[in-house]
Amino acid sequence: MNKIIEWIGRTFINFISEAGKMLLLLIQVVKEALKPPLKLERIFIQMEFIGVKSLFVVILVSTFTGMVLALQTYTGFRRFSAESMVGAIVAISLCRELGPVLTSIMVTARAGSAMAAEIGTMRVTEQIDALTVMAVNPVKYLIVPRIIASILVIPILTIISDYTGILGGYIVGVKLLNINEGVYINRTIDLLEMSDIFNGLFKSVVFALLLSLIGCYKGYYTKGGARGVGKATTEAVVLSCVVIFIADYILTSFLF
Amino acid sequence: MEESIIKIRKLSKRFGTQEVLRELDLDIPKGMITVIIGRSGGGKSVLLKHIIGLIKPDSGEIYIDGINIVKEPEDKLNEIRKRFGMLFQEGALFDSMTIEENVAFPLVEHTKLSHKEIKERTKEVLALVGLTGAEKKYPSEISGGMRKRAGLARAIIAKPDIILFDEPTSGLDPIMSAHIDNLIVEIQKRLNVTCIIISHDIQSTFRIAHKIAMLFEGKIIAEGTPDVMRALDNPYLKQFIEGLSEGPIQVVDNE
Ligand SMILES: Nc1ncnc2c1ncn2[C@@H]1O[C@H](COP(=O)(O)OP(=O)(O)OP(=O)(O)O)[C@@H](O)[C@H]1O
Ligand SMILES: [Mg+2]
Repeated sequence: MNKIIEWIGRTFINFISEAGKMLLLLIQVVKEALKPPLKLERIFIQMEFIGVKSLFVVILVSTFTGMVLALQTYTGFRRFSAESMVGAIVAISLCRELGPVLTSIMVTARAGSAMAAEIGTMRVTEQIDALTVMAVNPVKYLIVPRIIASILVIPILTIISDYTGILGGYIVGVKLLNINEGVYINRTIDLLEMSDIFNGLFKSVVFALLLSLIGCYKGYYTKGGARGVGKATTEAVVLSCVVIFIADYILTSFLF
Repeated sequence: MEESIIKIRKLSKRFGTQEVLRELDLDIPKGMITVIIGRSGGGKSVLLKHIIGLIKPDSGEIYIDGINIVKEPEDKLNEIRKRFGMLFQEGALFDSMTIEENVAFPLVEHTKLSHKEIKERTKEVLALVGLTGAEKKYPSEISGGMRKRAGLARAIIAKPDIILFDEPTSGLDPIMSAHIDNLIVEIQKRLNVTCIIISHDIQSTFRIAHKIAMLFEGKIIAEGTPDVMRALDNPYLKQFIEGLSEGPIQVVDNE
């Protein structure tokens, strides 16, 4: 019994101290980002890595999600003859929820893990110390471009994800399940509101900040060789995913 | 003795329960080569990292030209760091950059030199350390000794006035070691820089040092010119210089 209480206590303390350290890192990031000069080149390189190279997987996952969503809603909605609503439901779910969440999870798996691994390797091989010694602030050099690039590029990926998801739904709904095309499209346009899209994009900005901060944080504080880097990478992915889902609920319930 | 550029006073550092430095005092004379010797795991690298502000001490002071860097905020510290060059024990090259990019890094970051000037300067320095031809390779594609020399090139390219070398010649063949030794001596003479070198190579230490300091159990237990050191009657120092496994220094202890 004592052991359990001890464990809960320790976990809680660890959690708080880690959240605190992460916040301190974020403050440093903001400070360094505002201090000129801001080297755009490094941001572009990261945008390419995070954005362009995630494009394919985001499109693939979103298309299939839109398709399966259409299929599932159709099965349910047909039971009370509401097939005409399938398109609208697919679009709303994607824009409000699935677009931003799926995109962020995909980027976490691809780029968040890479951030932790790259920065972590640099930590354990003293490359971060080398930066410091050469009077280059490692937070500004390594972390600021990654976080800014994520915040710029993930909403764009989200828009693409929304779009391809809706397209996937359309293909299944109209071409495969033979829902009337005019009705499908009109219902979607009628019911989908601009605010659905913007809410989703706002979410994606928050997720972008979270996943890039966690990836960089885990990398930056890596300890202990190759094993440490592996651990940091895994932890970054798991923590990012969990935090994204929790943040998603909080944002949805309080803000919209 | 001469004017000291770096003064270390009562420097203490522990990692967990392990005391690495205990109230260590050391003066580094300006414009000379100081070699720090001491047993493996004795805290030499830790000492060097304190001098450049990579590790904060638990207590004690480090003065660089009279400024106590322990108390300086990070941006002031960065100004001071621009006066330094450092070669890490393991090289610490950026593994996602080529050798050329690595060596040019300090110039790219801190000077307004043109692309062409940087390129020329990099070529020059690489030639100096015998790395011509390896410009486009990545650190993982060259040997350990070559990495060391690339690290050396990076440490000297920006013409710092204090250079820290963490075992510049370990892992090099004797000829290359001698070459690097000569290189350090030459750079030091030509630019009148201050060099702090950590070395296990006793022969080379006596050849190039103006001052030798021996670190043992967290303190400097002997220091002076090579002649003074040779004449000192310190059993620890004697054992170390002569490389004996028998003596007051126990090889196996509770380290
Ligand atoms: N970041 C750190 N965290 C914990 N312990 C450390 C750290 N850095 C060094 N140590 C410990 O401090 C001691 C001194 O290490 P240091 O690297 O300075 O030795 P050294 O004198 O340079 O040895 P060598 O000649 O083998 O390079 C070692 O026992 C090491 O375990
Ligand atoms: Mg060492």
